[in-house]
Amino acid sequence: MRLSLLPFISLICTAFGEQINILGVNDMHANIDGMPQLATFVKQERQNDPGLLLMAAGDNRTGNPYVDNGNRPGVPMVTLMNHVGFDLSTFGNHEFDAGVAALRDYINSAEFDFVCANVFTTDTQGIEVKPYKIFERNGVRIGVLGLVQVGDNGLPDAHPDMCAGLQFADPYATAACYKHLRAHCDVLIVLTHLGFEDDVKLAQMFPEADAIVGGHSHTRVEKEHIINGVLITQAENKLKYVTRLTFDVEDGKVIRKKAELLPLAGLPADAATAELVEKTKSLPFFKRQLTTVKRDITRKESLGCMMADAISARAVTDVAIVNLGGVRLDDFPAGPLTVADVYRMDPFGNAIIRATLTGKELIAMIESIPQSDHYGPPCVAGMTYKCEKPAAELKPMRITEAKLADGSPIDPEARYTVAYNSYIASVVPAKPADAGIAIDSDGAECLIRFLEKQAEVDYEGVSRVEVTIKD
Amino acid sequence: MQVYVNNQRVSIFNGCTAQDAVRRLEADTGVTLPHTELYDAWGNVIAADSPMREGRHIFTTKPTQD
Repeated sequence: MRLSLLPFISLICTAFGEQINILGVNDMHANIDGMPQLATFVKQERQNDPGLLLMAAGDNRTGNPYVDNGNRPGVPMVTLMNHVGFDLSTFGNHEFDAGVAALRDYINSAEFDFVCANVFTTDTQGIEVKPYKIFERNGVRIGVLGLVQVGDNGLPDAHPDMCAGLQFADPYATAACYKHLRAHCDVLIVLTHLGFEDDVKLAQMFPEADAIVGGHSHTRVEKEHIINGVLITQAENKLKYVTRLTFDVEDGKVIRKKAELLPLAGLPADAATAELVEKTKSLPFFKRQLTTVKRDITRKESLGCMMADAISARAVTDVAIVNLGGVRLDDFPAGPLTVADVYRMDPFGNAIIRATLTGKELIAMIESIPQSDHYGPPCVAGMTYKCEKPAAELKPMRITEAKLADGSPIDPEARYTVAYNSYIASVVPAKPADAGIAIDSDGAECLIRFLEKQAEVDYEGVSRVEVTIKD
Repeated sequence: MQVYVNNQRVSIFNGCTAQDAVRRLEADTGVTLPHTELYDAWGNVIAADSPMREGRHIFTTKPTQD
């Protein structure tokens, strides 16, 4: 690890001109446990260069219920970023995950600016996003242009409903409009959330930039990538690394530049930041009671049925499937059920997929899950089934009868909307024609939404699968 | 969505991760792949939860020489 420091030597003045230091992180994904180490590193670096700039290339939030599921989604992360001393961030697609009102609160809580040139807000939204920002350090002007990825639907990879009221433009066409920044800056950085491959594409059409500090693809850029004269960096994700970029500037021109990927693991935790992290974790929302469990739930399968009901309700499907291995509690006592309990039940954060399957594909998918999951026949919502299961786990089970919840048989040729998690989508041998689409929700979020609408739930004894052991 | 794992085309749901794509290829072929680390077409290591997009190539062994 290259963290040895020379605290009494100023790095900012070179023999020829000025040295500009920038630290870049990306895709922190609310990994608040990494912030104390980042704080230590930043403090050390700023001892050498008080003018050092600390930037985030988007997706600061999403990935930790302490940050994402509180009364003010995302704000705990921004509070920590304020504390560590971030100078700038761009948007990632996940900055939009909680909708415009939450985004406004998130941005307005920041003591640093957000730059993003290809997002457009209205005056009434109370969201101020600059396309770029120009810093000055010892007479050197450092311009930073922000860009976020936009998918084929014209939106970042977030739930479309959460982007309502915002407009987005193609990042490449937008970048082309800002080539003039070169004339106003000595160092020009593009802070992007496009993904490494698309940063390469950007570099090929934007040679005016000195460097791209990128994110989105969670790429660990260890070796130097200079494409069309543009240095491209990215520091994987979740604060495993930080990239230190160094620019030697002489007479208004960058004469030398380099990037180093530095690990944060193993650094001592900054005590004040660690304290703030602990305070974040003590937020009362985790203790929030969602519902009351009427009777002791004594079987994993019954909990799986509750989870399947929650997924089906959220994805608005005819049927939902939950693999038993995805149910991490075996039972649940009567009494209050809290947000924390939901995350104990489903800690995976697997995306929920919505697909349209024929009855034949649906049956084939259910039959094939135990071979991958090794936990036995999966739980379902919106249907029931009878199956013959061999005693040996890895042998395929066979469904002998399947009915919808109303008692009508599942027609092999009819089409049904089905919800299941991304683990099932990825591992089962059965391969439906419709690969499906992620609905921007995970199992825990589905459960929270489902349970908080009910004063009481009673799943004890609920079983929708009749199993016959038959070798 | 069509992506490529070790130059083999894989159909996977929109919104999948690199690990999802590798698992899908394993399920399709019945072959278990070594994926302690995953790589992009430039030889960079990518995290298992790297988001995939249409046409992206990933690899379970390093595709390029240093």
